[in-house]
Amino acid sequence: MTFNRIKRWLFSLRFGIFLFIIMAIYVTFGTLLPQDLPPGHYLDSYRLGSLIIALGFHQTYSSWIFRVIMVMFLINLAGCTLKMIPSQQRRYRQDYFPSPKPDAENLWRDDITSDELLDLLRRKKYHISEILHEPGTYHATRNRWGVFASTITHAGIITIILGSFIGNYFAQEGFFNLMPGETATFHQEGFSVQLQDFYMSFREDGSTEQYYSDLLILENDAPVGSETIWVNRPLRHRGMMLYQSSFGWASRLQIKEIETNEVVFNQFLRNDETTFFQPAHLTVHLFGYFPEFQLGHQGMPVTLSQEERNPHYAVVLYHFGEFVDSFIMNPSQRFTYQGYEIGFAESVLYTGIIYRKDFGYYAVLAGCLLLMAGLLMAFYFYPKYILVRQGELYAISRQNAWGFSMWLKRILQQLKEKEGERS
Amino acid sequence: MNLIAVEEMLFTIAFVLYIAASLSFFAFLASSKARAGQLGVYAALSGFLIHTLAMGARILESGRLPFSNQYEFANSFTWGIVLCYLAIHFYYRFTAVGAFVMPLAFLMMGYASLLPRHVRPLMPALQSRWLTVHVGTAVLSYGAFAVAAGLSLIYLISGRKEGAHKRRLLPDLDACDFLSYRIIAFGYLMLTLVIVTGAIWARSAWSRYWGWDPKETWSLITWIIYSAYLHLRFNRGWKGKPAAWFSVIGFIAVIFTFIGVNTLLPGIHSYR
Ligand code: HEM
Repeated sequence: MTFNRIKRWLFSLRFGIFLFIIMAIYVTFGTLLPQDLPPGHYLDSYRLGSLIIALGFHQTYSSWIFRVIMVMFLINLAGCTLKMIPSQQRRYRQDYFPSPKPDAENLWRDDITSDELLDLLRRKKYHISEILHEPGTYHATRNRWGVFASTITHAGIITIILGSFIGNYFAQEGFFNLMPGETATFHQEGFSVQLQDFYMSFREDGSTEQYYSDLLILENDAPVGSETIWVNRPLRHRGMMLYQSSFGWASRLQIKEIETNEVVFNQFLRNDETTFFQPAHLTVHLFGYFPEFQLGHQGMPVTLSQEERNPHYAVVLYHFGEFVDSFIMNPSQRFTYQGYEIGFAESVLYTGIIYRKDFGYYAVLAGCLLLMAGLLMAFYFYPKYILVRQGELYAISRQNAWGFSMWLKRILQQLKEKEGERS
Repeated sequence: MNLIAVEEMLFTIAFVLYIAASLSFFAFLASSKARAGQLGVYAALSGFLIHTLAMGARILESGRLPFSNQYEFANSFTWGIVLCYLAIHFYYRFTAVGAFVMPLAFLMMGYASLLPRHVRPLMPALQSRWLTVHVGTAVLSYGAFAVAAGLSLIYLISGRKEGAHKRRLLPDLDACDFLSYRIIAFGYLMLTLVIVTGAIWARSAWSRYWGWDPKETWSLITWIIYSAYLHLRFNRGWKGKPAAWFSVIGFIAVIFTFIGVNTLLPGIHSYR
């Protein structure tokens, strides 16, 4: 008894709407609060910090509360949908025909005969049957399969949510940088990619038009193909997707011993990277490489574009942790320090690539298609019923009673007008 | 004269015509003179044509559809509202709806005029054929929700002012109610398409199809509100006043998704 009551409530529309509201309110908090910061931040900055943490609003979309809401929603939706299938099957049967509502408008016009009417409906692709025990009464129907619209829509939503669960638990994703010549390996998928080249195209105003990575695909160290990727055009290989995502400059720091004229240090530094040169106890911090250098606000170096029109390096030196000096230098300049000559030999672009493998996406995509198909059925290809009998004409639909009657009136009017023109 | 100056001039003329249309519709409601209503329709229609020319000039200038920053989108959104209004007007002959919808259009256009309007080339993430479908459906969806909210406002207001209703100025209340429901259904279908195409696009541009970016989340919230509306209406027979309030609330969510998210909660999706 109580079990049935719980089931009725769990699978009810009322509970579904309740979950809709809870869901909308819950995710709203996620958009208003910063996400994924350490708990201490919330405790310090908000008066209700502990409540935020307890309700999971510091990581709203992966909190257990949100998962519980989603699972409840799945159960509710699945239950609701299954519950309705038998009545839909009944309405799908050939002999089903709803009776007009008591307040429905009778659209019969004396200037149009039953035969003219049936003819018109036949032309509008209605299926017409005469009722055996009521001669002169006709049932015209269209889109009877539209009764399944809600089931298809809901099945779409369920598929989308399940697909996203698959993604949450099984998707692999990550990020790596490659300089030309470097390789990244996907052991599980059994292939690697080598960056042949990375380059950008520019517009006249110096803004970046596009980023390109030329990738060579290798399996067992043998090339099996090559592909150029750019933003909005990922590479797909063995289920793994590779996306052009970012870029940066790596600059070759060279240190020469002046006495011997020998290169004793040779290493790539990325912007904001630091390295330690043991012989002189020197820490070199590459503050940044500026391809089109300009001194900006408050003497800060900036770059106007990524084109190497006026390249400069900004470098800071430390000795045993103490600040020594800072330079802004171009590629031909060198500075000396305790018998060493220090400078940058070249700068190369490296690429930043996101990889992601998520089979859940295909479920989500299939769900989206179902959802769209279901909505089209519900709003436009819904079941339409017309009752025709001498002196009576009713347009019957659950979805769009008013609009459907409007439509019928309109085509009757058009029929008369056309006849008027002909005669 | 270059194209951008032409666009600016046409934009201003359209703006003035939209204001004129709104004023005529108000005069129509106040005076019940059919002439005022006719004038409003003419102003709205000619404003729309000139607005379309302005957009055309911009398309010629930039070589792409005007869909890529807040100014262009607000502009297209205005265009979508007026398009949906005119479609409803010529199909159902509801002149009075203009009094509620045209002010929305000119407010939105006023908002657009405050935004930086220089033509900028598309950044790499936007260079995709999904841009057209994604934003095109958003324009239609938001336009439809605006007209539906206008109809709901008529419903709410004329429900109180029996007098106006008796004078048969405002459309039949039942018609307003039904029509706003049908228009919401269309807007909802389009909004679903916006979200679906956004997800497909996000997968090819950003690797994940859904990332709880504020714009994504707020479009979902809007979608949930209208889902609740449609269910309450269809399964529980909600009509009239509660449904009309719901439609107005839904439209507030639309406006927040559009303007609030870009200005208050910027994420990777705020192309300003
Ligand atoms: C699941 C993913 C996505 C969702 C749910 C989504 C949702 C929306 C919505 C509701 C709008 C309507 C306009 C507005 O409110 O501002 C919109 C507009 C727009 N979307 Fe998306 N979108 C998604 C992905 C993308 C992606 C991947 C891009 C491009 C890389 C993109 C670019 C745009 C642009 C340029 C506009 C119009 C301009 C603007 O409002 O700033 N969207 N999107």
